[in-house]
Parts: sequence; structure tokens; C-alpha cells
Amino acid sequence: MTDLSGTDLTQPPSPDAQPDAPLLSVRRLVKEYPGASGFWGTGRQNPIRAVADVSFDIHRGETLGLVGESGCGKSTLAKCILGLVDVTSGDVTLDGVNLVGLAEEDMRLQRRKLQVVFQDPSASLHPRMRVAEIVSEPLRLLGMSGAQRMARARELITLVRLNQEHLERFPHQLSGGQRQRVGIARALAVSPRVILLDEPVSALDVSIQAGVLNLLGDLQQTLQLSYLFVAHNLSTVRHVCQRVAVMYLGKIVEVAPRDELFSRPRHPYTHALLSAVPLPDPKRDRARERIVLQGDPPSPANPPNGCYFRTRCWKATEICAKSEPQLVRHGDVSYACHHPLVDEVGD
Amino acid sequence: MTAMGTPQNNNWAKALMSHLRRDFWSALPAYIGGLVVLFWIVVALTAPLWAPYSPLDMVGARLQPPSADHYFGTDGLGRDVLSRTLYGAAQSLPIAVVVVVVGATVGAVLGAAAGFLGGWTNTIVMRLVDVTLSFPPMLLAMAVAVALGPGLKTAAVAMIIVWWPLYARLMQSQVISVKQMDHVEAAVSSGVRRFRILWRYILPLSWTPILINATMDFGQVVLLAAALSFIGLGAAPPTPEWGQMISEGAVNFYTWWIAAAPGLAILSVVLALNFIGDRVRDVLDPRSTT
Repeated sequence: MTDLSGTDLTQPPSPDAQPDAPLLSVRRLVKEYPGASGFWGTGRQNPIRAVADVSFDIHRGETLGLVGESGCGKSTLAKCILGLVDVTSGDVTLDGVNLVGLAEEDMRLQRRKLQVVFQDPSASLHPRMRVAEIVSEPLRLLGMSGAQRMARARELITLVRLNQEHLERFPHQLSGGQRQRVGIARALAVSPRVILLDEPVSALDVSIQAGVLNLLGDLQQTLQLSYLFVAHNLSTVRHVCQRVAVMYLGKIVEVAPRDELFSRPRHPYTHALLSAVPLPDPKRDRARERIVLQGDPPSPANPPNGCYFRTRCWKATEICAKSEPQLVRHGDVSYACHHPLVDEVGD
Repeated sequence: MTAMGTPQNNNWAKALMSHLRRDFWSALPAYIGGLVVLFWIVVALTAPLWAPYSPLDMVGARLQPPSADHYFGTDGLGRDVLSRTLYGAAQSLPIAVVVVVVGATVGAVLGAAAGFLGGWTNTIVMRLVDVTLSFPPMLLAMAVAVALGPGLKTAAVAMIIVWWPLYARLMQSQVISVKQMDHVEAAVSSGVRRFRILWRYILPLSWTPILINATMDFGQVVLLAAALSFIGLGAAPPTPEWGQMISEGAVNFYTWWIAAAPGLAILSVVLALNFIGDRVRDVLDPRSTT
């Protein structure tokens, strides 16, 4: 498989022996769900490859965006990294430790380096726990006493810009934005190195999304965090990510630094996604070329041969059906396409 | 309400009063049910003080209809039916309590284990549940009671064996659905221990249907206990037990009073418990409130 480490512009000086080693690296990750079988136990369908051979790296202090339409495997990929589902094959290495196949207790101890913020804060907080308890639950991992946990909870609540009195509230007594801040505080509790953000603002009102995103950005600066930012909203991704990976049908089709991806997309699918983002200026919005893809994504149980995207691609030729394009690195940018939209001028 | 001491007391009293005013009518059946149950508990504990006669002695002529001497008449051996009914509360009610409490506890523990652990534990527990539930409950209770020998204690064991699978199945499905909720996955991801996940995150959101069903089942257990005694597998003959008394009265249609008193007693207890069960469900299950 191709080495995917993109050039990392924001990497802080690292105290470790290997300053270049990525903090979180995913290699050839595959997650298959067994296909449904018939009523009489016959005619089992093809397994569904929700994640099909995905590799990427996240460096210290970096935010990698992961975008794709719903059903492309973003959330399954997130669950694989978190160990919430069993991986079919591949490796997830966090700070030198392979998380795949770890015993339950060993995995639990690794979680002090890897935390998560879920999409819907009203579902991801225990409805009958007070904020103070929700935020201090992960601290049991560190073996803190009750008083220490309470002190840390007070710190955390300030860190996410809530007030001390919020500690005594239940989740249903908070607004959506406040709840998500509590979710972020919980993720920060054990001072992790990597936080997985699974669509952290898409369940929030547009008016408070910016506040939460800015908070995440500031926390990253002060605490040297790395984020994997899973999203389907490209504007949000553009706002917070340094590098962006585009996923289609369980595969990563393009990884590029943010500005490169938004100004010069290589993969036709990336281009189509970008052209669907509304522009703030109506004149420019009307004037530009808009690509509307034909049909729906193919079923992951029965993907097309060759390039997965060829059934909806306007540039597809014979070779696209014959051989599957590999994700190949060209400078900062990696893409898996036989007919990239921009030639490698810089190379 | 004269709790006017500290301001806190006062607030508490006020809150209680406003609660009573607001919900009084919807809670009224439950209050009545509570009073009836309380009445029977007091009777069960203090029957000797109230009963006009001894429950076992022949205190009058045989098969006398209700009269001023014997308010509910006398039975085939000349015993006072009212006295026997009052004493009978001490036999029938504790059985129902034991069966419901033990059955619900055993069922909930096994069901929670099956739902949480999954795999082999789940397969074994749930197949056991399926097998038990595939018998007609009365037949299974009879078979167990016969095998263990007649008597109230063995009747209780038989009823527990019939009853626990209902709670196990309920608890298993409840635990499985709560286990998949976002806040549980969030707790797993943030490194909460496995046992604590079950104890603090899953069980508090799973046990209310068990409590609701237990209150509703209480009346049914009283009835099944009566039915077992009726066919001679519960209380042994001289003991005053409601189902046993009904079976004695059922022999002769013209002496209706022998079965009337214990029958009304069962009716009042079952109705009262259903009122309470309804209220518990209304309060605890947010989905059924209007």
C-alpha cells in the first residue's frame, strides 16, 4: 500500500524520539458485515464492505477531515478506530500501540489517549447523571479520588466555557450547544492526545455551530490535540481542518491539504462534492458549473469492478472498468483515479 | 399538614400539597387501592383480634346462611366463614409477595446477564425461558407442585418457576436496547469499566418495566395461588386459605356464601393491586402518559 503521510504543516516540535511518526495511523483497515441469509438458511448474500482497505495518518496537533455522503462508511470507520466494533482486518496504531486485537482491559487503558465526541449530545449523555458526574466518569481511568475528580470537573467546565453552576444540572436542563460542550469536556477529561469528532456540530443549530467549532479550534491550540473530524458538511470541514480525506463507498479516494483540495480537486468525486456546496454570493453560485451525479451510490455488497466511482463518473473510460486505481501519492496530494482533473503541475 | 418548622419543611409540605391537588383525580384509584391493600395487610397481621370466632373450630350448625351470628354463614363443618376469610389473608398474601419478589429478582438478574453478556449466556438463558414459557402455566405449576408434594411452600416454588421467565425475557430485551444507546457507547469509548457500564448506565434505564409488571402481576399470582389451592395443591385442608375455601364452596351451588367471602376478598385485592400497578406505570413510563 502507498505511504499516505501528507506533508504536515502544523506539526509542533515533538519531544519523542521519532518526531515524524504519526500519532494515529490506520493501515489497510477493512470492516465487513456478513450478508443477510435467506429464511431457510440458504442463499447468503455477499458480505457488505463498509470500510474497504482504508489507510491514513494523523500527526500531532493536526486536524484531518473525513468527508463523504451518508452511508459511505465514515461512522463505521470511526467505530473501528474506537474499538466499538470488531475490525475484519488491518491495523490501527495509536502512539506506537496497535489497538486491533487488544484485550478489553488493555484497550480500556489505551482510551486515555483516544477520546470521542459524538454527533447527538442529547443522546450521548447519560440522562440521569449530573454534568459533574458525566464529566468526571472517564477520570476513573486515571485512578483519581472523588475530590480530585470533582476538582478536575470544575477545571473542565471552565475550559469549555460553561459555568460552575452547570455542574449540578442534568443534561435535559441544558441547551443543545451546552450539552455538546459537556460532551467535549468529557472527551478532554483524561487529557487525550487524539479526539475523534463524529459530526460534532451537525446536530446543533446553525447559530451555535460556530461557537462550538471555535472552541474546538482553541482547545486544539492550547492542548496540542489531534482531531479526526468526521463530517458531511464541507463548509465546516474547510473551517477547521488542515488536511481532508474524501471517502466514497468505503474507500478513501483523495487526501489533500485543505486549500489544495478546495481549490484544485483531483478526483472527479471530490469535484462533484465541492460543486454541491452553495456559495455565499448568488451571482457566482449561478455562474459556476454544477455537477449533478447520476443515480445513487452502488451497493457496498455488490460494488462495480475496477473503479468504484466509474458508474457515476463523467470521465470514466475502459480502463476504469478494468483496473482499480490505487491511492497514489503525488507530493502533498494523494488520489485514486485514472483520469485526475488537474495534472500534476507542481511535480 | 402542620409541618411549619424550617422553611425547607414548609416547602416540602407545599410541594406535596400542590402535587396532591394537581394529580389527585388521576391518582385516586391508586389511593383507594393502597387503602384496600393496607386494610388486608393489617388484617393479615392482626386477624385474631378481629375475627369473631376461631377459624378451625366448629362454632355453629353446618351450612348456615348469613345471619347476625355469622355474617357470612358457616361452612360444611360448621366453621365461621368470615373468621376463616380474615385468617386466610395471612396465608394468601405473603405467598404472592414472595412469588413476585423472588420471581422478578431471579428473572431480572438472569435476563440482565443474558442481554449484557450475550453469546452463550444469552443462548442458554433464553432457551430455558422459551422451554418454560411453552408449557401452559397452570399445567407446569401443577406438575412442579405435584412433584414437590402439596403445601403452600411448594406451591410458591412452583409459581416462581412459572413466573421468572416473563421477567427474564422483559429484562433481556430491555438491556439489549439500552446497551445500544449512544450514551452507553460513549461511556465505553471514554473507558468506563464493563461492570460499571452495566450497573450505572444500563440497569437504571432498564428496570422500570420490571417494576411495572411486578405490580400488575401481583393480582395474577394471588389468583394462581388460589387456583392451585382450589385443586388441592396449595394449602392443606384445615388451613384457612382463600382458594381452598372457594373449592369447598364450589361443591354445592345452594350454599353460595361459603365461596362468596373469600371470592370477594380475592376480587378486592386483585383490583386494588391493578389500580396501583396502573398508577406505577403512568408515573414511571413516560411513553404512556398523555
